[in-house]
Amino acid sequence: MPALEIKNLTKKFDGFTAVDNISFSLAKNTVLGFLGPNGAGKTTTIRMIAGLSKSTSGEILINSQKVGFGSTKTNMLIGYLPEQPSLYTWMNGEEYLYFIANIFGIEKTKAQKLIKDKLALVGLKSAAKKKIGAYSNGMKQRLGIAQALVNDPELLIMDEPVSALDPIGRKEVLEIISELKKTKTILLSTHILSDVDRICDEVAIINKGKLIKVSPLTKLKEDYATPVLEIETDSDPEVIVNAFKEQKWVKNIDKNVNKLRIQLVDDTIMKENVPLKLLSQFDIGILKYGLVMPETEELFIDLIKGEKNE
Amino acid sequence: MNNFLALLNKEFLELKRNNKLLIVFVIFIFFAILSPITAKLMPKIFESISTPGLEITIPEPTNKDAIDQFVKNLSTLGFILIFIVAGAIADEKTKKTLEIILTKPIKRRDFILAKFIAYSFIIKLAFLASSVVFYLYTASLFGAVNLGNFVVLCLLLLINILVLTTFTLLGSTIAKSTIGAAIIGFVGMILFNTVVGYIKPISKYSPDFITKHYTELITNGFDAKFLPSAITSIILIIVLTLISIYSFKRQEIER
Repeated sequence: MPALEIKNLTKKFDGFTAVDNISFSLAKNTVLGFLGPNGAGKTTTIRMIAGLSKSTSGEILINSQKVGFGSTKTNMLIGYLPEQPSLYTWMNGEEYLYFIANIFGIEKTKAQKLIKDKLALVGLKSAAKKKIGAYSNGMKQRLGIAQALVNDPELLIMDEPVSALDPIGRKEVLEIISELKKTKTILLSTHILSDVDRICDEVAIINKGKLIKVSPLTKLKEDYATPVLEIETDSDPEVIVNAFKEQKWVKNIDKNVNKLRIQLVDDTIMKENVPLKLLSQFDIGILKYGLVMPETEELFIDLIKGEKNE
Repeated sequence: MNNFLALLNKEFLELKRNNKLLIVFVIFIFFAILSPITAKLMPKIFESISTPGLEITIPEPTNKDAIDQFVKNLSTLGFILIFIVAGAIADEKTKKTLEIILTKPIKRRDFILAKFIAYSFIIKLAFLASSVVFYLYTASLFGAVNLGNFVVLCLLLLINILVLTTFTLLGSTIAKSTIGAAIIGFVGMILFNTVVGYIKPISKYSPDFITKHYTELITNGFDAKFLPSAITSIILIIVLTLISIYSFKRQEIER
């Protein structure tokens, strides 16, 4: 039984189709990265799963239970973290979690232990008695995660959990999600693709309301990825970039200081050492040379581009 | 039931923390004290502004003048109350605190009822305190008013205030912002009190019928003529709350 099943889900707003007949399911204990550019329909889909928004047609099942708009039944099974969680600023962190535990009818002594554990998990133990209004964005996000875990949910839904955070806040939240990944089924929407590589087992890619691809991340990379040659030099590799650009076996080059990521049309040229021979013509030291797995970002851009061209 | 109590507790805590509870009490008590003082000082005020050659004779003020001020001050108080109540639900929409709460297993009906019960409870309590202060202070300045008649007057005035509160809560449910909610509250106040009050054949059903005929109540005691307004008001409170619940159940809360 999948933790989440979405069947032919559509959402229209005044003639505009925000989500267009999408279907996918999410097995228990997996992390699905829900990817798409801004405005693709990720948040609209997530809000329907959380019962906040009404679908125009289609069906959503959580643990085989149908989600209804404003439903309380499936709300027992989920934990939801919106992009920038708005919490009651006049409460302190601990009070907020007590409030949520009370809503779930969790008995007092059990709630006390549970809240202590959740605060420790998200690193807010010392800020438990501090007013939420005085929290940083990262702390609010972490409390947002804690409130989503109070009912030990079957399905954890996170909408862009790190996109509004600074690098330190992002790192902290990603570490918590990595920890949660061990025991929870997670649906995580994001447009930051490096996070997907770190956390997700599966990806569902949505663009303009349509689902382009649902696949395990590793399979997606095998099936769609063009090989990537990574080269690192000891000085500015501009001449190399210019020479490689002219080769017909090069699809795209990404330069980051002295690092090059070269997307190849196919990897047969590697066996014949064609790129290496070309490199040897220049008087530049090569620190690193080798094929690597493509990053989700490259894949994602390819898939979205493909969709546009169709 | 558990989650309803959780919501109700949260409402009371919020009213306390954001000082709305204190503000409501201070305002109600302020008007309770101000009313008899104004009545007492009225002759002196007129005396100070009288011009030579123009003689104004003002009768010695009585407790009826104090009640007159008390009832008139209520409309000012109504305006202030609208602003206090208008944010009840609209604020949760603009601040987006609703988003997380509505993904928890709460009934939307309970959310509205908790708001209604919490707000009307503090208003009832503040009005009770205000009435006691007014009664005692007026009695000390002018002599006591008939207690039975005064209690009935207060009950009818309270029902009128609760109609306004419920209408503003409906505004807060429908509107996307606090200002929008307050405007709906004002429209309700004008519609039910002023407009209905001026249309002769239906004026007896106006929730603020009592504010125009209170002298008769104080002098002659309760009369059946006050019933249509009181009954209409109670029906309005129930119907407006039900409309709020119905509307809230159908709302997709925007991001």
